[in-house]
Amino acid sequence: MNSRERVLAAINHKEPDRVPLYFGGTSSFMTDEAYFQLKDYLGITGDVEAYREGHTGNYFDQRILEALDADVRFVHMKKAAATPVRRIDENTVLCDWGVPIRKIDGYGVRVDPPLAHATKSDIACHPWPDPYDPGRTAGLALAARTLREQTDKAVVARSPQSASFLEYGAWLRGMEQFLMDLLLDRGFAEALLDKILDLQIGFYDALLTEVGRYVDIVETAEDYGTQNGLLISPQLFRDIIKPRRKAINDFIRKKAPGAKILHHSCGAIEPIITDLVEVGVDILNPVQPLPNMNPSEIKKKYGDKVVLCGGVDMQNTGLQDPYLLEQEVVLRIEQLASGGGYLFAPSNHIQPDLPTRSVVALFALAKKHGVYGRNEA
Amino acid sequence: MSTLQEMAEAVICGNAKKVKEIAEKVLSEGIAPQTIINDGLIAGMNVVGVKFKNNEVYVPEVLIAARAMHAGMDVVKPLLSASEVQDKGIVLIGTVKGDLHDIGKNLVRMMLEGAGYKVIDVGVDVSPEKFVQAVEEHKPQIVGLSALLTTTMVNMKSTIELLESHPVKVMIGGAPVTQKFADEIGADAYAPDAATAVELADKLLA
Repeated sequence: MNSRERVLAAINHKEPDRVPLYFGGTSSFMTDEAYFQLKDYLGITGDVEAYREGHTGNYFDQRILEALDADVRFVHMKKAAATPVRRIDENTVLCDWGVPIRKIDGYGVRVDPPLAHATKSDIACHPWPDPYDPGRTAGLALAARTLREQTDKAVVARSPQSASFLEYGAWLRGMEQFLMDLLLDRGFAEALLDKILDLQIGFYDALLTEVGRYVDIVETAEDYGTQNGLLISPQLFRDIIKPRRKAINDFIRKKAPGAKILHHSCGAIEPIITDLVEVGVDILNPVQPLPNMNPSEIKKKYGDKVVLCGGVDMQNTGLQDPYLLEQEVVLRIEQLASGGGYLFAPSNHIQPDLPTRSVVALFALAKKHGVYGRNEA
Repeated sequence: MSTLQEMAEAVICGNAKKVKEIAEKVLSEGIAPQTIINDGLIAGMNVVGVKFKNNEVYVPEVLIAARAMHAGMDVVKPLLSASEVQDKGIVLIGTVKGDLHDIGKNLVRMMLEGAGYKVIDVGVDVSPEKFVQAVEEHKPQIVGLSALLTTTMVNMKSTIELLESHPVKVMIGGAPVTQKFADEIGADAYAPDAATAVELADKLLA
């Protein structure tokens, strides 16, 4: 079974020969520091151009995926050509959504929300990004076609942004103000959400016009969860996010009819998994293991309805210990892999506090322990 | 329903305008400011804290409830004379060095204020030295440390070490933080959520 067959079996809820290794996606890649450490460790020389600036992770070298024997390869949008990212100071850039991103100890954090004092009529005047800037998609069709025709890997379209409604609302407006707007000034909040929706659809239009016919999976992303539960009530999610999520998924389905839709949300989001499935999510990432998000229970309740991708606890600092790392890999495969419908992945970005040998071991252990049919043999 | 119960209900619903109106009304009726704070504002926030912990209300509801509580406090607090101010204690909180995340810390601040504590919020990216300086200035009984990242929570340890000679209890929290980690670095308490932070603060001062 080659990589693409392995991934296709898993995402169609069948058992492949072993669990597919999914690494390099919207939420499961590396911070810049961890990325350069790993490249160095693996002896991969020569740099690739940053595909964005100022974020926590800005580089993506497919040779890392080759070295770790991942079963997927990615195409993703790049920087706009017409509107270069503007540097505000040594540590801060202005992203093309007009939001400052400040780097601190390697992490890009949005600061100084530009619409903090805006009214509804100000929304139109904000300098919004142009999804159709040709720099964003230059060379992507050829790259996707090459991956499709000249490799045996599954091809994934990374989400154009790692975020959607709640994050952009928070970054543009300020998190507390935006979350209060949702209850106190719904007119403003919905106008902002509609603008974010239009832009997201624009980005997927630009991306999938180029690569839609070549990809097996299209990624989408938004965070609804905290450590203990949802950020907003399930009802508020159903009122304001779910219909817009459906609009994006319906659009993706039209542009990439052969692809499965992966959706990422950190945190404990169990109460809305059925809603996400209803609006077209095929693959749920990252199944962050938490007291209210137990992977075994998620598998039992939703495993036949949605493919699960992730599971490896990246908040567990014990992973630095080789024995505990192996235990973690074995546990997640036991919890999530049975019957197929599982893609092995870290549940968040790899950070520089995880030793590079552990990163390499993580995927090697998944290959070792992820073989199906061993018990029957 | 008594007027102060009505006030507590208005805090729970996040109705700032109504809380302010009731505060003005009960003050004019001669109810003592401290009674209004305890039986109206704090009583309302206590309910919000429990509901938040039980996932019955969520972050937006907590934010508007805290806003409503403050609308009432703004009316009532100036009328308390210095001797009447009965804060339960002083808690100094901040996000540790290298970390700019603040929503979790802010929720803890709101819950502590809602429970009657005076909270000194020293912000984000706070170095151990800055914590010590602030502790010396404000003399809190409790210091609360927040971190979102596994890479920054190590700075809790250095902060606790530097605070060792100061008579404060240290409470920690944040996404990757666990009781085990709290024990390892010598924190006095670990709060997995904002409502629990209030319960633990009460215990630390008992």
